[in-house]
Amino acid sequence: MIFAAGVIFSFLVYLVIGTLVGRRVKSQSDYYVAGRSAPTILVSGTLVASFISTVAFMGEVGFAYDGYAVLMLILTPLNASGYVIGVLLFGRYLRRSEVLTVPEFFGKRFDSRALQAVAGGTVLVGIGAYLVAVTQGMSLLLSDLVGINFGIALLVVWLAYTAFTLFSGSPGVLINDTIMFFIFMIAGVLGMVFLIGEAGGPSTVVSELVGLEGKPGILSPHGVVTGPNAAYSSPAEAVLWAVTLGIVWATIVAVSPWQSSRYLMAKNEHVSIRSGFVAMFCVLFLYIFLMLGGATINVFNPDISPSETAFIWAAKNVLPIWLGVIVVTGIVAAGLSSAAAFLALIGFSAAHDIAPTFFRTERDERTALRFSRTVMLVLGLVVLAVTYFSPPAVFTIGYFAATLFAASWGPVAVLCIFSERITARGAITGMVAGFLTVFVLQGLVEFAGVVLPIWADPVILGFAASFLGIFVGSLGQRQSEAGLQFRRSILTVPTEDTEPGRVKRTGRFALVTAALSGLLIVTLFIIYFLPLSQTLTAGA
Amino acid sequence: MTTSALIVVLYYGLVPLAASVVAYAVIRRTYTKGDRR
Repeated sequence: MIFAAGVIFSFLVYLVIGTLVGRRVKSQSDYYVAGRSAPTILVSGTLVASFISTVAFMGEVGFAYDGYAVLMLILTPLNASGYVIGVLLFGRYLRRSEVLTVPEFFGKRFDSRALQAVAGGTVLVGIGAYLVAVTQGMSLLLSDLVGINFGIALLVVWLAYTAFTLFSGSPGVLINDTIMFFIFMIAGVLGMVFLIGEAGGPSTVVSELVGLEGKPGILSPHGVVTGPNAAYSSPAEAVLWAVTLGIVWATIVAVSPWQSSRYLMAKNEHVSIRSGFVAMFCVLFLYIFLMLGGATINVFNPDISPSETAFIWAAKNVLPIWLGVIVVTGIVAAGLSSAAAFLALIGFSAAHDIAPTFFRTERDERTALRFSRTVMLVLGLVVLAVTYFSPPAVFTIGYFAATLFAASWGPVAVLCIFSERITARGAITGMVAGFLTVFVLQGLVEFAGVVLPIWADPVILGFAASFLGIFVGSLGQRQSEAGLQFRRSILTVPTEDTEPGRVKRTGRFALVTAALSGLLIVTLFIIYFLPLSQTLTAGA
Repeated sequence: MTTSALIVVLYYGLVPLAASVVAYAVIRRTYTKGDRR
């Protein structure tokens, strides 16, 4: 009951903050992009918080528990460096454009309302599905914690994020996301450090795990590749999977709407870039503990089923109550922060990117704001109904929906900055081709049991389809002059951003992050490599 | 296994290190001399 009390108390805190912040929302710019005034700490907080969800704390910790902790550590550096690469290739230009949504950026770049509506449509379908998955995951968790039926838990969870998102829009999401970011960072790092300590420290944990019978090779880089529960048939297949998914997730954090849209709220583009460095480091630091801690849970109980509940089992059965409450609240916070960002995004896209294509009416600020809130409420109710009636498939839908954007948006996002040749028709064809290819193939893999070779991963084929779509669609069409003019305007560095003090400070963020990368190596060396080499030497 | 484990440990820090150093060069070039595209 104490766990449920902690979670409900956190819900009330988010609600109060949302209400206070929401009172200051006066314009569409406030509601959509927090008045473009967010400092580095808030942009970094919301970047990580909207990325990390129950998929990380339940699905990926469960995967580490199953025997793939180190394999996930191969995937993560590629994934996390997407923040720094993404903000330089796409995010800073997005911030410079001063649009309200990412689909609007595409629309202006190609002078095409149709493209804006198509991009908005992909947000609605892809992120809507992701929102259903995250809402479902949190509701199952709450229903299990409190012992109430799923329907009531769903209503409580839905109200928790819908109420403050609807009222306060981006400013509320920014502040609550940052609070949730701190809660789940503390939960992940402190919870896992305590678990490793309670199990006897890194040396004991490693020697116990090396001898674990049911999961042979659990600490090897490729993970478990033998036995009935092996997810991969060979070390090469496992590593290839990690590298492929690492690149796919790097693209997702670089261009996906729920990540790149965070840069629109930044005070200036230097804040966007600095936030990219902070987010990259925080994700890498957190994952060391989540993954190695996830594997450590085997020392206490190697038979938790389903493995997605491993961290929650540990919070209830191994950790002291105060830390268990922080961990459970942190896991819920991770889900809630993503859900809030997703709801805001689908609401913004429907009201700002899709609706104007059908209803071309001019609205004043107050009416436009009321319209945005009404659309968000209606979509929220649709999500509530779909979540209630859909079968449990939390992590499948989560991964599935996220990867849609890598192939659909990735090629268009980068080429629209770096190429003049791509046209509006090419961008629409590329976006739709990438989206449909991943949607159909991944659907066949996940729900119809179709097996594709690693090289024919749906996302890889989706990338290929998107590039082909861009090339073929751009044939025979002239670029719009307004679109080219927009591109030239975003390629010009604003004078205030060349101010030496500002540039020096951003440079320092890069150098400090480079130095902190050494800290990651030292941490992993101490808690993973050193005990492993000692255990293997002693056993030889 | 120890060699491959050591490679993973080094790789975990070297990838973000490389990204940060490249980004530093891009920032210096772009914001002190202007975007030259």
